[in-house]
Amino acid sequence: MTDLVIETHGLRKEHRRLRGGPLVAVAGLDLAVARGEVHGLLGPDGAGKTTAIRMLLGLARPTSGTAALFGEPVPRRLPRVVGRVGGLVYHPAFHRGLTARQNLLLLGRAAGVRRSRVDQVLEQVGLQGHGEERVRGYSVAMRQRLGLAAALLKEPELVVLDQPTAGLDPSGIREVRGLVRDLGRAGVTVLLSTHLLAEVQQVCDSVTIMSGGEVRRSGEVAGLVGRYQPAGVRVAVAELDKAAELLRAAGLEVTRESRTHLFVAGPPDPSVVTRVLAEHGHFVRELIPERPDVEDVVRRLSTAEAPEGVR
Amino acid sequence: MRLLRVELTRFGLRRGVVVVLLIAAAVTAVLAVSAAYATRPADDTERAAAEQLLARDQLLGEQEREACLEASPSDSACEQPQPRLEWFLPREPLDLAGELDGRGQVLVFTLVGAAVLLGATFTGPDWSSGSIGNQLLQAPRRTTVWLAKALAVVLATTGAAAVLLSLFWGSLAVVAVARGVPPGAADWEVVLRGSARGLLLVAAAALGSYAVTMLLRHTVGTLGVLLGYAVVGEGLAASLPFERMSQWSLARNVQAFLLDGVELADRSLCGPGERGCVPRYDLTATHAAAYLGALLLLAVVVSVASFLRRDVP
Repeated sequence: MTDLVIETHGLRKEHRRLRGGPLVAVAGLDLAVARGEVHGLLGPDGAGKTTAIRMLLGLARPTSGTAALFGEPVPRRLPRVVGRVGGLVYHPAFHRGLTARQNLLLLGRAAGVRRSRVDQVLEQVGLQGHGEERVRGYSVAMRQRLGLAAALLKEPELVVLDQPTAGLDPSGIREVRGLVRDLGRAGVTVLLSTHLLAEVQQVCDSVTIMSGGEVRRSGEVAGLVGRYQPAGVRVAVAELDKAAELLRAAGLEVTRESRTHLFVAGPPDPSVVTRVLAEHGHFVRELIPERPDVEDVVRRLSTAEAPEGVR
Repeated sequence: MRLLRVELTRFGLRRGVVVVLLIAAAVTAVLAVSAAYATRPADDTERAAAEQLLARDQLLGEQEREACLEASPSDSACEQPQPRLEWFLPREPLDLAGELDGRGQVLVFTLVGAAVLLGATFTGPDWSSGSIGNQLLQAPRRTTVWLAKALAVVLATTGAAAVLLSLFWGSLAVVAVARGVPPGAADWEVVLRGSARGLLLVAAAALGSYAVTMLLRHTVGTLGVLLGYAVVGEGLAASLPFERMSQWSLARNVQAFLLDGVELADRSLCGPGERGCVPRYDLTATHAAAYLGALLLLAVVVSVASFLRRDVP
C-alpha cells in the first residue's frame, strides 16, 4: 500500500454570496501525494489552488469532502500532525513592525522550535544579514523568502508551498526551485502550487492540473506536461532552412514556425542559438524568448485525450 | 503556557502597545503631580492671611455668642464650634480617600480607555497584516490560540495598570507622609478597594476590546464600534423616555461599579405634577457588575465562535 502523505476526496469549497448563488472555488478535489513525492498543483490564477492549500492547512473550512495529512483528517486532527507540516500560503504575511528574526522567533517558539533553527532557515533562504531588518522595509521577494523560512522552521516532513516564486527575480526563482529540488532529494514531501508550467517541469515528479476549481488532469509530469516545452526562443534569420539544419546539428529541437521565424525549444541559454548560427555566418535578426501560456496548456489538456498512465 | 509566553512577548514588541502604555504612564504622572500641587501646604503669606481671618472670625463669634446669651441665657444653641485655622487656608490637605473620587477616578477611567486601546491594538495587526494565518500554521488549535492571546492581553494590561495605580497612590502617600499627614488604615482600605475595582474594570475592558477585535478582525473596526456606541448608544440611554433607561448606559455602569453604586437622576420616574416624588434612583454595583459581566460574556462567546468557524485569510 502506498504511504500517502496528502489525501483528499471530493474536497469542495463554496463561498456564499449575497446574489447569484454560491461561488465554487474548489469543486471536488481528489488528490493523493505519496511520501517523498514532489507534487505540483498547476493552474491559472483563479483555478482554486490557493483555496485547496488553505483547506489542507486548516485555514479554510471545506464545504464538503475530506482531507487528510499523514492519515489524520484535517482540520479536526491537524494539531496532531502540524509539527510535521510546513506551509507557505500565497503572499505570506508577517508583522511589519517586527524584524524578520523576531517574527521567526515568535513563530518558532509557538511551534517549540529551538532558537538556532531561526538562523539556519534565514541562511537557507538567503536572508542571512537581513534578519535584524524590520519586515516593513522588505521587498516582496524578501517577504516571499521569509515565508519560505517560516515554512521550513519545523524541519517538516511535508512542505506545502503556494506560489513560492511569486515576486522573485530570476536568480531568486532559480534558488527557490533549487531549494524545492533539494527538499525532494532529502525525502521531504512537497506540494507546490504554481501557474508556471516550467516550474512543474523542473521540480515536480507528478502534477494535478486545475482550472475553474476543477481537476482537469493528474499524473506523472513526464507523461502529462513533459511534451510542453518549458520555454523557447523565436528566431528570425535570413536562411531559415539552413539555420534550422545547423541548430538541429547542435542538438537543439527546432521547428519552422512561419516564413520568417524558427522556434527553438527550451535552449539552456539563448546565446547558444546565436553562437551556433554566427559561427556559420548566419546572423540573428530577432531573438524573442517565449514561454508557454499555462491557460493554453490547460485548455489543450482539457480537450485532448488523457495520455496513458494519466489519472 | 508556551503560547502564552509567545503572546506576552508579542504584546511587548508591538509599538502601538508601547505608545499607549507610555501615554498612560504620562497621564498617571500628571495626575499625581497635580494632586500633590493642588494640596500643597499654605505658604507664609497664605498662612498669615488665614490667621487674620481666623482672628476676625473668633472675634465675631465671641460677639455673637455674648449677644445670644444676653437674649436667652440658657440657650445651648449659643455655643458654636470654635473656628480652626484649616478652615481659612486656601487648600485642603492631601487626603488619599478623597482623591479616589476625584483624580483616582480619572486615572481609572484613563486606564480603562488604555485597556480598550491595548486590547484592540494588540490583536488588530494580526488580522490587518494577515500574520494570524502564519501563526495558525504553527499552532492550529484555534481555541488555545484565542485563549492564549486573551490571557496575555489581560495579564499584561492589568499588570501595567496595577503598576501605574501603585505608583500613583504610592507617590501620593510619600507626599502625605512628607507633609506630616500620613494616610491611616481607613484611607488605605478605601484606596485598595477602589483600586481593586479599577483593576477588574481594566481587565474586563482589555478582554472585551480584544474579543470584539477578534470578531471584527480590525483595530479601527473595534474603535469605530465603540465610538458609534458612545455617540448613539449613550445618546439613546440618555434621551429615550423610558423609566431608568440610564441603567443600561455602559458609562454609568462602569461608574457605578467603580464607586460602589451611584445615584442617578431620572425625570421619567415622576409623573407630571406628582408631589413628593424624588426623580432619582440608585444604580448599584451589583447591577453594574451583572450588566457588564453579561456584555463581556456575550462578546467573548460570539468572538470565540466566530474565530472557530470562520476562514482565516
